[in-house]
Amino acid sequence: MNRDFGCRSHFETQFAELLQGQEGALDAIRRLPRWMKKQSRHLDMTQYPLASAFVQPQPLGVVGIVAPWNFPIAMVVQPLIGALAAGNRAMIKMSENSERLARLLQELLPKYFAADKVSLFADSDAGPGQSLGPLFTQLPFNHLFFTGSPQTGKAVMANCAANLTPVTLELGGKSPAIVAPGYAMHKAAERILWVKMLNAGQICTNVDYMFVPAGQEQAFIEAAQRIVAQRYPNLLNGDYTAIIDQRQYDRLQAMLADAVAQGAQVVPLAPGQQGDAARRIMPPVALLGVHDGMQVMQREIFGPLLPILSYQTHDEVLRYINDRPHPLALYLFSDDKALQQRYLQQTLSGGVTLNDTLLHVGQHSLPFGGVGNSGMGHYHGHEGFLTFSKLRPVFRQGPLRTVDFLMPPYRGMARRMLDVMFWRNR
Amino acid sequence: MTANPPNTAWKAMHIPAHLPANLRDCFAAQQAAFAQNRYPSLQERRADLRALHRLLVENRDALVCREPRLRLPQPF
Repeated sequence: MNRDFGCRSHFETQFAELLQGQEGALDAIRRLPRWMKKQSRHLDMTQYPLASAFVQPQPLGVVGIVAPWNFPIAMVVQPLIGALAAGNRAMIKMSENSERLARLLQELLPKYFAADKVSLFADSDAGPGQSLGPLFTQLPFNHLFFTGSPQTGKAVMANCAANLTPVTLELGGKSPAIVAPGYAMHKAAERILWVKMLNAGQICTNVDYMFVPAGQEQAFIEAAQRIVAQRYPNLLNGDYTAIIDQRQYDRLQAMLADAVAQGAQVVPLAPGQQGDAARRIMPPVALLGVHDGMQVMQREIFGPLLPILSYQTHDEVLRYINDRPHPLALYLFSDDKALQQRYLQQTLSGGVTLNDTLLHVGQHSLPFGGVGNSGMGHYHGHEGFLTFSKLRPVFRQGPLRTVDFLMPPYRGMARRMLDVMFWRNR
Repeated sequence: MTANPPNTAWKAMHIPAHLPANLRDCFAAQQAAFAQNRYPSLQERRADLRALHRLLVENRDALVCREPRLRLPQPF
């Protein structure tokens, strides 16, 4: 993993990928008996006396998992937990940026799974100069699980449509954070900077931009600079992750240059630290004076740039969020329960963490997934099991079949029965 | 009347022929294995999840790539 990134914080790999995967697997092992249990459903006993109805979750068959490069272990393991818990077999396709990890997993997996249970492909397995991705998603899987960008997600969905393969798409988007007036700015900064610098901001549920009350920008920036200085006294010591490849590094630099050219003010959050362009270590910066004409406010950033907007009223924040595609996450910092409810009810996003960032993603008891432009479908925990299951409805007839009274000719008893049923449902 | 053998040819026909052989073969093998066991028991599924858990636990170092010499960023 470290070699794929150039520099990947070892702590973050263990905390955000391995530990999450281990917890998720153990949680599924514990809860699987309940997940697999058939669920009884009620029936109208006057119409179906002594009959019964239940839902039985059944495996789908062979499922495909397309994993991204930003959390390549977690994004393989978490959907795989759902797929295996539901009784499926799985084929996995890794990103072109996870080549070394893919080769390692190809060595390891056969020690734990038969190839006809779990198989993993590197992107380069298509042959020299070819990408496996577009070919992989043409297989007639019984379900395909994709994590990546909305643009690639559309291509994946188009491929799957040819086979009527159902898809779960975990995409991204521009997820906002809102700091309400009166909320301790240092506390908000601590929690926002945690996710903004984790994996160098290369997280689909990252804070993409944030709102602070008008006049509070400087207070936030001062708090953020103090926090970064404490946590990352040296951006090159291995705790701070590199940008994954030169293309992504150049994209972020171009985004930054575009913002500057259009009048944004760049404020270093690690003043005095230069990063290292050769190693693609990019220092975090805040951006003030941003507007919608800038790339940084149009596209998902996926890196350590933090645009800061100010606001006077929550109405304008709500309008701004709702005028844009549904984000994958929304973060509100406020202890006001009424305000929390207002944001929950008046916006729609894949998930929400209140008074912190990212933590809704790590809960195995909560479903994770986007909505609209940020994705479709859910996984993690029980919802992961359900995603990879067919919820098969079963009706078991009892000894008395009342439908016999509704057979043609539709006169006499049939007519009277129909009248009674309408009367009961009037 | 003799029973017809199970017809699985339709499945093979649905695998596009232009896809790489390694993908097609793997998919066909997984489909065939699933057809032999369409409803793995609780014990089988738990064994799979334990195997996944073991993979992470037993290969932690290799997955993280945390050799001491790589603790500091290396020149590319």
